[in-house]
Amino acid sequence: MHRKVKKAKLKEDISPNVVPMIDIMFLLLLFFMLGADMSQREAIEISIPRAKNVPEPKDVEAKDKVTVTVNIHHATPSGAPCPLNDNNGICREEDHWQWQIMGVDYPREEMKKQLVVIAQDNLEPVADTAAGVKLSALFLLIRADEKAPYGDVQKLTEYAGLAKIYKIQLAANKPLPGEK
Amino acid sequence: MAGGGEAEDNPLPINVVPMVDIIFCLCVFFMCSFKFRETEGKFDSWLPKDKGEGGAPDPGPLQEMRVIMTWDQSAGLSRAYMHKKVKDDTELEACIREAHDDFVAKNKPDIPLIIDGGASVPWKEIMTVVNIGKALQVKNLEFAMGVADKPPPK
Repeated sequence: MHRKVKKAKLKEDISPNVVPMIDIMFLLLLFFMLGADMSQREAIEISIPRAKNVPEPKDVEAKDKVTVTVNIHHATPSGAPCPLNDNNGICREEDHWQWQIMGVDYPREEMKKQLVVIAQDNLEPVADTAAGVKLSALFLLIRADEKAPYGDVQKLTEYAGLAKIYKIQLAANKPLPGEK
Repeated sequence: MAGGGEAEDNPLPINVVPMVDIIFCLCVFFMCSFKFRETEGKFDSWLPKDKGEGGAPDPGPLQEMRVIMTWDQSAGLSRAYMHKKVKDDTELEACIREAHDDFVAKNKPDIPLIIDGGASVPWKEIMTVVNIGKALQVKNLEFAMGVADKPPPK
């Protein structure tokens, strides 16, 4: 007897539904794209001092405000490691402390000239009554590493004064929660 | 949001696998390059407009609050308020507070807090004193220039 076995044709679709995953990935992508900072970094990654009373940064800065950021950071001229600094010590080798604007390290004398050039491009419209000359309208933001020698900040301030830049700003971070 | 639907409903199914691959790659790229930035503030510190390189004339004795700081590789940091050596931030803050309150009571709130640091002093220590000055609402903070690294009096 021929028995006809009718196989149940079960067509099972086991492909996963990827649409929710794509949705989430799109959202993640959007988040990271908007959060990414692709601009040329003026502020390099250095450990700047913490100060509880530092004013909060304003979200909207004045449109005509020109700020030049000078970073004072530790880097050996040859790129060789500095054992003292690498072991969290305080390095006082003069040529290990670099002054940097927009990613370029300038020697001290070169920085002095650079500041004069930048300051001259941003003069205030009228001469200052106290100084008797036109001063620079430029803001100079000093971002010095917490271990940087104060002498470097003093020297940079002196050069700023000679270049007629008087609006100096000193960068500091708010302490982290729980930190003194 | 993208909608679901049965495969049979869609006469022209689109292969989304290459798109998912690309999105994965983009996600990985942006995740790797992402960094949370700390809020960074800045203290305004205007230079005097009417003074030359020599600095201001000495206003006379006790018309200032001077913090003398020196640093030495072996001895570390030494701090003194006027002629008194201070051990820690709390003591320094107490000294400045007392003097500042006294000047304010005498109607002299503009008497400056002068930070007189040696060239080797770590920048962090200078900013600590700036922070104390700001916390005590000292109006006039000044930075002394050109001081040699001599230890303060004991």
